[in-house]
Amino acid sequence: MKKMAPESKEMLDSFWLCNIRGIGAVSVRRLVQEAGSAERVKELPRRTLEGILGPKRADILEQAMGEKRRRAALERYYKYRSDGIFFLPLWHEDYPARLKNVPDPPAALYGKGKLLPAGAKTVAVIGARDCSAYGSWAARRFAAGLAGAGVAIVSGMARGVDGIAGWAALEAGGVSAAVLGCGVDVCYPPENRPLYERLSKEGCLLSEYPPQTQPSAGLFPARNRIISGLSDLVLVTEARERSGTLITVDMALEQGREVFAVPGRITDTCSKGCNRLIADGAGIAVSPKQILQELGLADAAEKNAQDSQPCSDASLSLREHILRALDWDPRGLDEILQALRSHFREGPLPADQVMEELARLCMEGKIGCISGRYYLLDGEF
Amino acid sequence: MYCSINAGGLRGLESYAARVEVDVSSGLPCFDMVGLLASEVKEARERIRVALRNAGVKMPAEKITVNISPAGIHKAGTAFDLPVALGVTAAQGLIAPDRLEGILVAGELGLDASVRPIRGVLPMVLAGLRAGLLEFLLPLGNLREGMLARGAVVMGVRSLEEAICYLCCDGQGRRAMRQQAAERLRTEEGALDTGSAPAQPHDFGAIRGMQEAKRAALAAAAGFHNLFYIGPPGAGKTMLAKCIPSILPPMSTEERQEVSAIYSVAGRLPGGELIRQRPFISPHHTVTGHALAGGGAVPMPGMVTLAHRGVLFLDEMAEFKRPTLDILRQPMEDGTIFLAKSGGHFVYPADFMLVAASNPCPCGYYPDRGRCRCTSWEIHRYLSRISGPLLDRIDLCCTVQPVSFAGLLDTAGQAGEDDGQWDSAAMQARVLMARERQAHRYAGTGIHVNGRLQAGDILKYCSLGLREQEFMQEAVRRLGGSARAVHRLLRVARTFADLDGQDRISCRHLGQALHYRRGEDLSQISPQI
Repeated sequence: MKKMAPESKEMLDSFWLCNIRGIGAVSVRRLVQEAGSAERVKELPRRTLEGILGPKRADILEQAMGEKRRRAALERYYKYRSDGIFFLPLWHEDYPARLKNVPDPPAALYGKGKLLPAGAKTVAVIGARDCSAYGSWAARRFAAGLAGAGVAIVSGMARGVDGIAGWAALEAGGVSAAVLGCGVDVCYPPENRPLYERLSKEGCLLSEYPPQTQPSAGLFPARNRIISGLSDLVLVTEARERSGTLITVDMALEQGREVFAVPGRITDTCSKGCNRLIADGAGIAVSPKQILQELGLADAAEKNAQDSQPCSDASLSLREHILRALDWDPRGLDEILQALRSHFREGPLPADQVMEELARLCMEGKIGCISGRYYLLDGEF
Repeated sequence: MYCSINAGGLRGLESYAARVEVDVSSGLPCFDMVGLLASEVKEARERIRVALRNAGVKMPAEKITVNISPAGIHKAGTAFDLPVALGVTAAQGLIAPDRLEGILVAGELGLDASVRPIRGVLPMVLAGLRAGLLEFLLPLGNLREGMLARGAVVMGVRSLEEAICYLCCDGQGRRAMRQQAAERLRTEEGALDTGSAPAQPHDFGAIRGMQEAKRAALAAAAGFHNLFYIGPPGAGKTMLAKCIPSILPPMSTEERQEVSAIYSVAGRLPGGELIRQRPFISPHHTVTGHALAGGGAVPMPGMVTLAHRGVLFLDEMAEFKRPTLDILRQPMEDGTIFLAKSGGHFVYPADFMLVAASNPCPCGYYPDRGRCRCTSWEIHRYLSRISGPLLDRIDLCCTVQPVSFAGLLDTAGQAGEDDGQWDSAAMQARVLMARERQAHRYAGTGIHVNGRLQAGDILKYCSLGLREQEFMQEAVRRLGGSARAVHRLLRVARTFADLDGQDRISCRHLGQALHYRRGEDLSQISPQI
C-alpha cells in the first residue's frame, strides 16, 4: 500500500487498467497481485496473462496496451479530475479499509466531495423508499443522533429513508456518504437534487461505476454491497416483508457486519420486514444512544444524551400542550383539537389560536406539516 | 293583405326583437317562409298548416309569404310558431291589425293546435320590456316565468283558438282572460304543491365533527374563495361540498333574475319559478370542454355559466382531463366566459365559486403508508395533473379525514365545546356578518368579496401591522412561497379577520390562512419529509 500522488504514473495506469472493457474487477485484482503494481502489469509475460485471463481476454488486454487507447484513457482521467471527480483504485491507501476486506470489493471507486474520515465509525442507515411517517421519523432521529456524535452515515440517496437519513446527518452537522447505483455525476432520483448538491460539497458521493453511467435496475443490488461494506453497522429503519433493503442486509451478514432493525408494531405492513429481521436475530435499535454504545462510543453517547424533564400538566402553555399532542404520526387539526380538549376542560377551545401556534411551530422547525397534518420533527418519546 | 306581429328571438343568452310579417295575396297557392331560418323554423310551416286547420281556421288558397325580420340574423328555436300562425290568421282579416300592436307573441304549436312551452321566455320578456312592449302572449306553461319580469302584462294560452280569441278581445275582455289564466295556473300549482315538496338543501348540522373542513367552508363562503378538499375516499368531501350552497348568502332579487334568465335559456326552468337556491353544478369528470364552457354555433350555456353566482363542484378533480380543467382559468379570472364560435362571439357570465375535491394519490390513502402503496412519483404525478395556474386560483385547501366511528356516534361531543354552532343556519349568519363588513369596506369600488381581490387591491385592503409583517416574513422565508402564494394568504387572512369582526388582520388570522394554504408537498417532493 503506497502513497500515490493523483498525477503519478501508477494512478494513470491504474485508471487505464480499471477501464478496459471486458476485464472485470476480479481479473484486475489478480493482475495487480501478480505484477505487484498496476504500472508493471504491462510487463507481465504473455504466458502469465493467459494463465490469469485466458487467451481471449489476454488479447483484449494486449490490444488495450496500444498507445492510442492509453492516451484516450489518460484524457478521460484528466477530464474527470477537472470535473472534481476523484478515482480510487483498490490498492490506493485512501481506499476505505473496511471495503477492502469484503469478499468482492470493487476494483476502483469514483467519488465526489470529501472522503470519509479514516478512523471514524460508520453506520449505514437504510430502509424503504415508500416509508411511513414513522420510518422517516426514525431515519431522521437515528441519522441525526449518530451523526451528531461523530459517526459517518452511509446511505444510498434513494427516495424515502435513504435520502432522509443523508439529509438529517448533514443537517446535524455530521458526515455523510451516499453510494450511487449510477455515475457520481448523475443525480438519481432527480427529486433528490438538493441532497445530491449538498453531499457533493459537504459529504461524499461514491460509485463503482464510471461517471456518466445511467441508473439501471441491475446496478443497484451490487451497489448495496458497497453500502454495507463501508459500514461497521447496518441499521434498517423500515422495510416491508419483501423489500430491496433486505438485499443489503444479506450482503451485510455475508460481510460480517452487525445488523440492527428499528422495531415496529406487528400490524404495520411497513415494518414487517424489520420485525422479521429482529425475529431472525438482528439487533433491536432502541435509540441512537444504544447504537453508539454498540459501536463502543459510550462517551459520545453520554455527551449526546439530553434528558427531557417531564413537567406537570397544569403549568403547560397551549404551545406545550400542542407539542404533547403530537408525535411522529401526522395528525389533522381535528385530532389535535380532540386531544387538547381533555386538557382544556373549562371554556371554549380556541381553534384559531391553535392554528396560529401550529403555524409558529412550523416556522420554528419544531414540527412538520404534510398534507395539512402535523407531526413532531424531533423529540424523545 | 299584409300584417305584422312582434316576436322575439334568442341569440345566446340575449333576446332580440323580431317582427313576423305575413302577406296573403293572389297567386299560386303556396306557403313560403324566409328570413335566414334554421330547419326547426322552416318546419313550422307544416305545424302551422295543420294546427290552423285543427283550430278551425281555413288556410287561404292563395300565396302566403312570411318574413321574419331582421332578415340578416339567423333564427332558431320554436318560439316563432305562434306568431306566424297568428299572422296568417290576421292577414286573412280574422284579427283586426290594430289589435296586434304593442304585444309580443311567442310559443310553439302542436298539430292539435295546442300551445307548448318554449325556452328563454324570461330574457325575451325582459328584452321586450326594454323595447317598449308591455303585453306578452305566451304559452301557459311559461306564464309564471313571464310574470317574473316586473311591469309585464302577461297572458298564457293553452291553444291557438285561445290565442286568437285573446287577440280579438278589447282591453276589458283581455283582462278577464288574463285573470282566468292566472286562476288556472294557481289551481294547477295547488295540485303540484301537494305532490312534491321543494328539495331540502343539505345541512352542515348533519355532519358530525369535521370542524377543520367546516371552518374552511365557512371561510370560503364568507369571502367567496375557491376551495379544495383533499382526502381519502369516503371521508365526506362530496357531502361537505353539497352543503356549501346552504351557507352562502341568499340570492338578491337581481341575482335571482339573472340566474333564472340563464336557466330559462338552458331550458332548466321547468316549473317556471325563479331560481331561489344558489346553483350547485357538479359535472362528472368525463365532461367535455364544450359542455363545460358552452357549445354549439350559438352556444348553449355551459356548466360554468349554469354555476353563475353559485358553486361549481369538481369531484375527483385530478381525474378531469387537463385541457378541460384549463378552460376554467379565464372564467375564474374574469367572472365571465368568452366564447368565439362560428355563430359569433359570446360573453356569458360565469362568476362561480369553485369547490374541488380530490384524493391525495391514485389509491387515495396517502400519507397513511400502511395502506398506500403508491410511489412518491405516482403521488407527485397525481395532483400535478391539475395545472399550476388553476391551483393558483384556489385560495383555500383543506384535508379531510374520515370521522372515527366513535365520533359518528358521539352526540354529546357536538355542542358547547367549540366556539359557536356548526349547523348551516349558524354558519350562514356568520357568513352574512362577514359579507356585510366586506360590502361596507368595498362600497363603490366594484369589488364585492375578498376572494375577488386583485393583486393591486390586496396591498390596499390587507395591510399588516409591524408584528404581523414579521410573522409573515418569517413564514414566507421558512415555508417558501411565491408572490401569488402571499396574495392568497392575505386574501384568506382578510376573510378570517372579517369573520372575527376585526378590521385589522392579526397573526391569528394569518395563522389560520397558513393552516389552509396549499401544502407544498402537493407540488413537489422535498427530502426533509
